[in-house]
Amino acid sequence: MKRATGAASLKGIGMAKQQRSKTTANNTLAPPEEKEFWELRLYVAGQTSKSVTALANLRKFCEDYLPDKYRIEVIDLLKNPQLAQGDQILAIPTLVRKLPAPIRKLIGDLSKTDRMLVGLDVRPGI
Amino acid sequence: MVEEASLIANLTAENRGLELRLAEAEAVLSAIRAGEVDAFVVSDHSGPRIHAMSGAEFPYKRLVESMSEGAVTVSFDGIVLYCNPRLADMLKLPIEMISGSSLRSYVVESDLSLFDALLEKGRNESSKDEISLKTSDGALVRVYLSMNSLEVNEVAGVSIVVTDLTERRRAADQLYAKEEQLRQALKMEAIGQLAGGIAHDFNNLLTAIIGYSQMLLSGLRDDDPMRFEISEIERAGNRAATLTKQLLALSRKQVLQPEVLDLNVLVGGLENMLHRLIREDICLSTHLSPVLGPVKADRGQVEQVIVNLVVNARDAIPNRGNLAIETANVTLDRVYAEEHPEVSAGQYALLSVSDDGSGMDSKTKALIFDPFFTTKEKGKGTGLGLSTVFGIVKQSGGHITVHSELGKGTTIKVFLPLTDERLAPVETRPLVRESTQGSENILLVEDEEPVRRLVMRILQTRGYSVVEASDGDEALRQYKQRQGPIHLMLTDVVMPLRSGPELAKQLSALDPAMKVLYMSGYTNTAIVHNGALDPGVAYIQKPFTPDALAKKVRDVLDA
Repeated sequence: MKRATGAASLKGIGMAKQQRSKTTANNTLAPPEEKEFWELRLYVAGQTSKSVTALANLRKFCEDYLPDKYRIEVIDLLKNPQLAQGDQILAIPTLVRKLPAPIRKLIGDLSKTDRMLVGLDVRPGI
Repeated sequence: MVEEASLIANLTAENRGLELRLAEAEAVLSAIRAGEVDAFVVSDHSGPRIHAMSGAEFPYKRLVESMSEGAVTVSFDGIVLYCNPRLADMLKLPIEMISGSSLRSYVVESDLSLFDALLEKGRNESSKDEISLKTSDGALVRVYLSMNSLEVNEVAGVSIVVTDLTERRRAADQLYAKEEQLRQALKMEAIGQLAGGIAHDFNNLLTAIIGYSQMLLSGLRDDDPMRFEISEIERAGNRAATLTKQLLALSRKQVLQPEVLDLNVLVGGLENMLHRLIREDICLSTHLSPVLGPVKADRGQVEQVIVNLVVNARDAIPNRGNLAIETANVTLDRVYAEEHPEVSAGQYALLSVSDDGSGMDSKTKALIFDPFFTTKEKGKGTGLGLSTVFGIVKQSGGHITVHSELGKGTTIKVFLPLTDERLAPVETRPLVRESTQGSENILLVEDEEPVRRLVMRILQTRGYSVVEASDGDEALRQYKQRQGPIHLMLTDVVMPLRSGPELAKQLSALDPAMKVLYMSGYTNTAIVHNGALDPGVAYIQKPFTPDALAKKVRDVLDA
């Protein structure tokens, strides 16, 4: 799925931090909550305005609330619509929280931080 | 019981699943109501398809996506909300990597504070300035940012148009280079006008100064005390004549008398003189191609080129050193001609003069062909030597290049187009001194009295019978009242009322056997076209020495 056509991993800042975060996760001396990791998948449709707004909002949210603890995978359904079936996507943009379990979905441009905190079950201060 | 319990569990699970789907459907509906989605997954028999709501903004989006400028919208804190394909091209990154990132992260460090100030100002009104962006491969792109505050619906941020200045800079550089060429051409044209303008009067004066000095000298005894002073006058006159000639050459206003030449023969003929020109501690060597093709050029001018280049090389060698003259056949191909627009592709004879002297930095190199530019001390050089070379080479349809390295030396290469014409067989002239005496009748037409009187004396002392006229009308009158035939008309070219060629045309109609010899100090005349003398026209350039004039008169009469 991750390597499938149309799926673009965001390597930039998120990826670098994820790698650092993995190192921490493997470190047995690390506090247990540090192992919590958010694997997020954003479904977009090319560059529609809501798609780009959602991605920008998501990036900012993760930097603010989940620094070093997230990975964002962007899936462009315009390039490969078949990928909508796996997570049963109806509307775009949709964010899927793959990890931590259970799977959760958030639909829309992710502009409301409070809804993001509740929807992704992120407790500020962790 | 067990079956019932299992059924209830299944129904409960199914119910939870349905509740979840209902919740999701409600979430979708509420997102649609809030205007937070703009595309849907539509499924039919062929599978899922994406339906994007294009809306009224669709044409504008297409417009922005096809713009040749980068377009980007950022949130107030600089996070990219939207970026068009052109900006992605500039940064050499896929759009999805730019969206959501901080635009600031692509700004070079030295421009960060400027960028921050622009963004700060752009939030409230508008701002614009130049900065440099970093591309993904580490290159820098100079861009012009134009920021405007953006507030549409709930989106508040800044819209930025990013103009790539690379092309504009390149175009500006090209324009500057062209302007520089034009300025140079205009400067040469102005010098040419000036040189051409003074040459006429100057050469008449010099003809008189040099001519009378020589006549005086020839009448003096060897031990006459006046000899030194008069020789000095003659020398000064000759120096002035050389300067005038150089000014005409560098402004490409010389009258060329092209002939088919073998550069090897020219170099060979000059070698003794060149050895005398250079110092003893400089070793002069020649490497001449045995298969060198002929060129068509003015012998005197090409000799001048060689002498000037050798003198220049000599002066670049501070102590001991080597100086080499080389000839070869070379082809300047189409690629070379495209890189050097002033050059036509073709076969050339190369004449190169190299030295292992002090060399030049690029700043000096750029100036060496400029008239009056010299690196020599005041009074040591006129700054005309290499500009004369440049003028002669250009007027002869040639090309010139300079390679120089500071401390290592300089090579100047002159390319003259090869000609298909054959070399004239070497004349084996009898060594017996040709007589410059004669008894023919000559009609002399010259409006400058000092020159006319001098020429008359030169010719009369050699036995000719001379009838003089100061303009065309008088010449016609004199011709009609003549005693016996006029064998030769020696006439100035530029004269008031009637020019030399007009007069010659009228008289030749009456007397086709009469020969015509033109003399002029002016170059842009009726007998010169494209810098070369019309074929079959006999001509002598002022200033001339009495001997040179007498010889030319004799040659024309005997031809």
